Amino acid sequence: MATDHKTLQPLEFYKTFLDRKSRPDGRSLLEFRKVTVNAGSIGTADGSAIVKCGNTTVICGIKAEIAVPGMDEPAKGFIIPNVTLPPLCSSKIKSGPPGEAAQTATQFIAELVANNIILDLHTLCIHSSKWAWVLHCDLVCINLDGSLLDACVIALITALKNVTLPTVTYDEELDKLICDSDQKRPLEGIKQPVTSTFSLFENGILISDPTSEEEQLAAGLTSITVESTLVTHMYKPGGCTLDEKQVKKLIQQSELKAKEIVRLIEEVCLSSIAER
Amino acid sequence: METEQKSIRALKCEQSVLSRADGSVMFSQGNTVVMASVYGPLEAKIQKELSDRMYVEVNYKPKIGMPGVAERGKEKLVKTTCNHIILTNLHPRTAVCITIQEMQDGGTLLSASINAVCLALLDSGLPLQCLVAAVTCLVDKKDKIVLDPCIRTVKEGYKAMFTFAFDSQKYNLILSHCEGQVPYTLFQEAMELCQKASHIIFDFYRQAVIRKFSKELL
Repeated sequence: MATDHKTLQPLEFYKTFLDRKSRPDGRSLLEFRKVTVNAGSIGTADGSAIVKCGNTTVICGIKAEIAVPGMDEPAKGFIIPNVTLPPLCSSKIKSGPPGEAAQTATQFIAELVANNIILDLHTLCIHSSKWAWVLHCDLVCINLDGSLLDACVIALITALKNVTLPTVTYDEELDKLICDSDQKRPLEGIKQPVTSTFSLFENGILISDPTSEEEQLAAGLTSITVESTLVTHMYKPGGCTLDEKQVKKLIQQSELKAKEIVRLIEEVCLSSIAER
Repeated sequence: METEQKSIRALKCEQSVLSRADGSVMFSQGNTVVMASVYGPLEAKIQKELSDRMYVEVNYKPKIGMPGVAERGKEKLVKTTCNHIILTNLHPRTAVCITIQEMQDGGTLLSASINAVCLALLDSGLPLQCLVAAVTCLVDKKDKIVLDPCIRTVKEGYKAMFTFAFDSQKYNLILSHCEGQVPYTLFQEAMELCQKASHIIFDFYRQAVIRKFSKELL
């Protein structure tokens, strides 16, 4: 009976839960799902991480290579993110060239990188206008159940913290790069922005960390990225409107989540360094 | 903290510039010039057809080069905004095709695109729930908030750049897009400033429609 109601009128079925300030999976309206993080599981990558936010699973693998810096920014390295949503992650994704969801997620991460929010790209420079590190960050979602951006950002930060690069020095006289693979050092100065996704319904109801069903039923969606006390990004692509009080409430909720996630990432990174 | 510039740049528009489109506009905000066209309601492709609403498709064409991932990001922002303002329930199983052509980049392409699309939708006569006005503001390295920055200010570097879009009924936030980091107080101040500036844009829309119909009556 309940499944018939759910199939025929999904929004009405969902509203019966919202009226009781609850959701089908038993969470309260502003409760986030459990986050599990694992670092360094991919041996062939320079840095890697697997993140599960509830059912949404994202794997991040980072490969480093060396290239010539661009002419307009000779002292900056590169971080090239790429979010892939293969058809196995969700029934809504078809095979073929990257769809809108993958491209907008990639653009979201690329904007965070471009504004020096994740890492100051100057630290990736080996020798100005000659050589710089390029980090190819591939984020693959293997199970899509809402809150893709949250999982991608956590995976990217953890994988970057897991990266170890060989020490490279540039000999000016010989015009050669000398690479010492035994002396590996981690990246420094990785900041910790945390993204929280909320879905919005009419009548001012706000729900945090929506599953993919909840995202589809929602009238609007917003992802707020915070880093300690700074508001980094409020990504609200259209959808139903928000007034000032609601914006403030969402930012406060994001700050609470950010504290927990930062603590979790630090624990994981410490234990993965201990294992090495 | 002082606000250097309390008002937005000059707004100009010419509606119905394209003869074949249902709605079109050439819109300029200072030096940023954007052309938008609306074709709809059209017959939707079967894969894209939605049984209860109209499917909104947005194409953003940059001035040079092929559209890439950055353009997809802008398209998604405009598309979800249009899904909210257009009364899509009135035209099920149809589609509306919105195209935005960048003519000149004077610094605030995203907000100019959204404003141009709103004017083009007004020109096309599609039923709208409300209008939308987008404003960009920038927080420079000295914590000064600059409203509607020109391209020179943007190239000088900034702490953060925000684009906010508001609806015409309660002036609540429809769209938000940020680059850079600021403490919450600055973020709130920037949002309030943009909200006040959106009134100027709504007045401009009104003037544009009055002008258009007064010409037709003559």
